[in-house]
Amino acid sequence: MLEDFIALSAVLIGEPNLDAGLAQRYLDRLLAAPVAGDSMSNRVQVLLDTFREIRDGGGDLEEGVRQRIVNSDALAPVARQIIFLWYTSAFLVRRVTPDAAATLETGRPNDGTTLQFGSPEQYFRGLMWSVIRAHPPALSGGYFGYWRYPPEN
Amino acid sequence: MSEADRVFDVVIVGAGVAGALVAWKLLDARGRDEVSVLLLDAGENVPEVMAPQDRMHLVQAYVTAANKTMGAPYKGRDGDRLAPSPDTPHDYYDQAKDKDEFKATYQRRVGGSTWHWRGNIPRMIPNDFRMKSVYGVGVDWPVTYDELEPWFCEAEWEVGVSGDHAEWDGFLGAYRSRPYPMSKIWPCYGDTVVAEALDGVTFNGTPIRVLSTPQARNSQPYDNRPPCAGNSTCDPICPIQAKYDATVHVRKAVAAGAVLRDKSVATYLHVDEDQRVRRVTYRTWDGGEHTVTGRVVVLAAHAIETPKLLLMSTPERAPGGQAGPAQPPRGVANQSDQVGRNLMDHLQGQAAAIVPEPLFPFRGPPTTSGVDSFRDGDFRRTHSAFRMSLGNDGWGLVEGPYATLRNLVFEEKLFGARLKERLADRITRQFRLSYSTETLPNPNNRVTVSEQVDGLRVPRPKIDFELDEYNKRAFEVGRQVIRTIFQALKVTEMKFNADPNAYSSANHIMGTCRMGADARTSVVDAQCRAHDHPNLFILGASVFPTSGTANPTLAVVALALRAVGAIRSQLQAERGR
Repeated sequence: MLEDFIALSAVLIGEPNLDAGLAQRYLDRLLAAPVAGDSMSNRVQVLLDTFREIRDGGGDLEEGVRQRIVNSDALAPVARQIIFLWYTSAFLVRRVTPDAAATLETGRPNDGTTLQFGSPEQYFRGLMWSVIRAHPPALSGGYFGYWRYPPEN
Repeated sequence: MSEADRVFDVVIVGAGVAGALVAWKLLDARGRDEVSVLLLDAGENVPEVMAPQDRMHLVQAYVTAANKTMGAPYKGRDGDRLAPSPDTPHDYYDQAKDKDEFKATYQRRVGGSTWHWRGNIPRMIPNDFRMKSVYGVGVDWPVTYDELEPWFCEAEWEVGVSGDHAEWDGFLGAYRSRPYPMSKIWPCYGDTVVAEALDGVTFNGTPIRVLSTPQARNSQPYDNRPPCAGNSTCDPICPIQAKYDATVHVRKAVAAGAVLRDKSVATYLHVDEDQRVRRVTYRTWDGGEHTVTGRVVVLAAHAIETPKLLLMSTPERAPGGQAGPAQPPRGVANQSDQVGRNLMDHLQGQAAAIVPEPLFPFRGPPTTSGVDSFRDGDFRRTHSAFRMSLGNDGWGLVEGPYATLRNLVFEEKLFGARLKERLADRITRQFRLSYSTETLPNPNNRVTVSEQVDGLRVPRPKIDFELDEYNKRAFEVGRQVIRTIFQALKVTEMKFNADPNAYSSANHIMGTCRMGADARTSVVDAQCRAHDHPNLFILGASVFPTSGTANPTLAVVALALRAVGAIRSQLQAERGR
């Protein structure tokens, strides 16, 4: 399951080399995430089965993922959480009432949707910050004045 | 004599920037053998106060918080219940119905709100102190810029300010008699692009100049603290204490002999028959009630808790029902009926745009430059002055990076390489500007004592607050200036709040124990001594009679340093009694 999850993630976020240890933690969090309706393990299973079919069927992998996963009402919600997770280390969750447990957002996010982070170590490995040529807030790894210049290519 | 019965020379309520600085200054010259100082704080003396190198717990709490608010690193402890700090408009304040929301937050723990301040520290300008004389609005301070100028210099060296002396010397009349201790925080790349585009641009004849922002943020090693490394989370937590926070002076005060008692919420000030305030009753987090005696008492609990404490100290609320005969009916230091009144804040608005070329935000402090051109002028007869900040934080409060990503993934349904390109393209070209307007003192804007209580059964603050046309006209002008700047930048997209009167808070709480020469209309004199009680001093921004447009902390520090002389003299006088 982990290998399929890594391979699918690589297509979803356009990053070929994903760390297996981090991927395992993200997969664990995904499988444990409360969700309304069908269980997470079923949803993830169906998602990964579909991905395996696309991959085994030959043809353009990205196009196959677009058509059968990203454009699928049933599969897209979890796929988008996977993208968001790698970018930020957080899920998008919602609470139906302030006291209720948070469940994974599977509809359209709105004002009732909030972030749910894992560990600080995961936060610092979010991909968003390198994509925007910055750094994870609170950990610049930089020296005084680096911000004066645009990022090096 | 037990520690509990000990009489202190000076009892200070509040271990924030004003209280900690004064504690240290009182002890520094004379040491623990000559002056005894007690520092009380409602909040907790967390381990990170004494071990600043060990801040990762706070950083970790912040980075994993769902809501990245000012209070996020500091929550999840007993203080949330027992000495609550407002982090939203309704989690602690009792807001008056049918009025405007007061949105300022602050932090009740040892070190106070400088834990989470951004660290911007420009000076007030001469006309800020004489609004009535020059513009016919507000009131005049009983001190002038000239009198405070040497203390601004002291303050800049004490906390460590990085700034450009040549750029700021004489700006709007605010001359400087000493250089900054450190050269400026370098403007971010985006500032340089914006400044170039604004060359020669004016608004109603006023040139729009970009100036570097003076910051209490090291540009070199200073006072045993490292230079800024651009971690970008200044508010609410600097991971390395390159940004000044008051724990610097808490540590110095304790090392010099100050006794620090945390988790101690002051609840009552007793007035003796000679009008002195010597006894402070406080409640500890375990529910115990204690009373401590000082020859001089200093209140430095920020501009909501300080007036609330004064107003709680009425005969009806005396501990054990035993009010002394001299306890004033309207609360302590309140013959003027000004305690709690004239509540002010700086009210802000932001607008965002997409610029043609990348600025690469989120690298370095969230703002490094501003537009100070509208901080003074004849228009102050009819609308607020305002300070503007250039954002280095993408779309700032308009839209955070998580929301931008969320839209691209969940609304536009992007993934793979296309998502990467679009995200990079969008965020690197995000830019935002804000304006921060002064508010006029209004006696109906006030802090009083609520019927609601917190987890320690201490009354919460009740807030009455309303904007006026003086502010709303300024919001309109601020938006026009922003449009002018966006035009000069040739932005391809812009976003303004649909409600022109929408505002956020700068968290600059001021005015509630105002300074003045006339005891009938003010709470403290020019030395921050309460008119009604010669041995009671009030520090912090609560003493500001008007708000100006500068972040208040420099004037808070300057006034505190200046008050040390008066506190020492009063202590001499009290010892002779």
